[in-house]
Amino acid sequence: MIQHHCTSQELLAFGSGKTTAGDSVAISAHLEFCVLCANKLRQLEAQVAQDWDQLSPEAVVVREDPAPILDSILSTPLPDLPDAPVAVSNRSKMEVGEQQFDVPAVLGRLVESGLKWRKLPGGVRLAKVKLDNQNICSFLYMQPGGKVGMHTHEGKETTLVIGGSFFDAEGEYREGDFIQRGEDDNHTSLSKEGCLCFTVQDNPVVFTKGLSRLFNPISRRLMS
Amino acid sequence: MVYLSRTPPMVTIPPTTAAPMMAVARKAKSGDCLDQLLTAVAIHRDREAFAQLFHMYSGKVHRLGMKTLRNEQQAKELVQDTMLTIWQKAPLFDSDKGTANTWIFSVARNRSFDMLRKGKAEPQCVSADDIWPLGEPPETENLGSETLEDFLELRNLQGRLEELPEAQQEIVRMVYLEDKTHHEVSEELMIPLGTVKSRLRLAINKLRNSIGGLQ
Repeated sequence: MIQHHCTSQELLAFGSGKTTAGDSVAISAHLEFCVLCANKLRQLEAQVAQDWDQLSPEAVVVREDPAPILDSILSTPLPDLPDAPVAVSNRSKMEVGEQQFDVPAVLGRLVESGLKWRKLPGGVRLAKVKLDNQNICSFLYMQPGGKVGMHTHEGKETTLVIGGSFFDAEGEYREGDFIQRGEDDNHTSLSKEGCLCFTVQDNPVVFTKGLSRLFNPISRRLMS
Repeated sequence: MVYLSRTPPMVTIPPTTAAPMMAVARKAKSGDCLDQLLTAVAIHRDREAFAQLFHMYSGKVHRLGMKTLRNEQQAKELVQDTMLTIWQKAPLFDSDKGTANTWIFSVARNRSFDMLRKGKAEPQCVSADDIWPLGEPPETENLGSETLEDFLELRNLQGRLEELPEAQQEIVRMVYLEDKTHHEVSEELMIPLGTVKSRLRLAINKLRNSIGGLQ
């Protein structure tokens, strides 16, 4: 049972296409797990689409003659849409540490393109992926007993649990959970059974304690 | 391709300046009428229906483009991209899951999202259609022996089959007992391919659960 969901504002922004690619991917992955949010999105999307539809067509002046565009579309060959058999969606698998996880479809292509894992202290591995210009996105793996040291962020941090579970002072998070952290959250995360997450950050994480500080961006290290 | 050669490439273009009276009439019946138009494009590749959708929506898509892409040239490109996608992917429309208007909006939003990212030179490793799928997954998922198993199990499951909603039963029968393709079912029942697939998926999942419950 999923405990942590997207807010209505997040779903509305997502449905309107206004979220960054990083956030969009995290929300889309959550929707693969969460029927509740998926249904909510469907309603919001219908609303957004209706508002859009009610824009009076007179307000739009298209000066160009539409006939050539229409003709060119109608003469484009149609792709073969396969007569696909029915199956529960095939999720790609991902192995990290000694564990295997099912990856949500939206992350499948990213995972298949190959990730570069980097080991961090505390039984943690991190693989960064670039999706857009505003966020830093990563896959974060905690091995059983693993721990992400005390850290804060300069901006918002979104975490989607792909598999396994972890906990912090505020609670436990499981497969499909969507977690938002603000700027002032200073927290340590631990995992008993191992955990794979997809995270989206506005800005680099700043470690505040111990050896982990070595992984802060250089500018930070010079300042501290 | 059969559909392409069926009707001559002649399209009647309604005048671009629609009289206000027409706009009112259009609004009154817009929902159902729209669904019918898109369904006609989905099932029969109906050019006339597509031309109507094109005239109803190119202005709206253009406006969306001006708002998000802020550039006349790109807004035009968005109209072209969106309309082409609607023409090509209409069979993915699932009338069980939402209205034609919502589906068309989704196509425009997806194309605009991709164009915006391309303009900012953001990595193309994820596309809008991955994030907001327009219908059932386009790739063929290989069921292999599972299909046969399902089929055999279904033969002993007539009783369970009857517990399904009528609309789902009908499709399961046509596909598994009458060996019809999804396209044939779509044409016969006059529902988009996307709806055929989603109903079939729902039915199979229910049957699977019901088998699971027996063991």
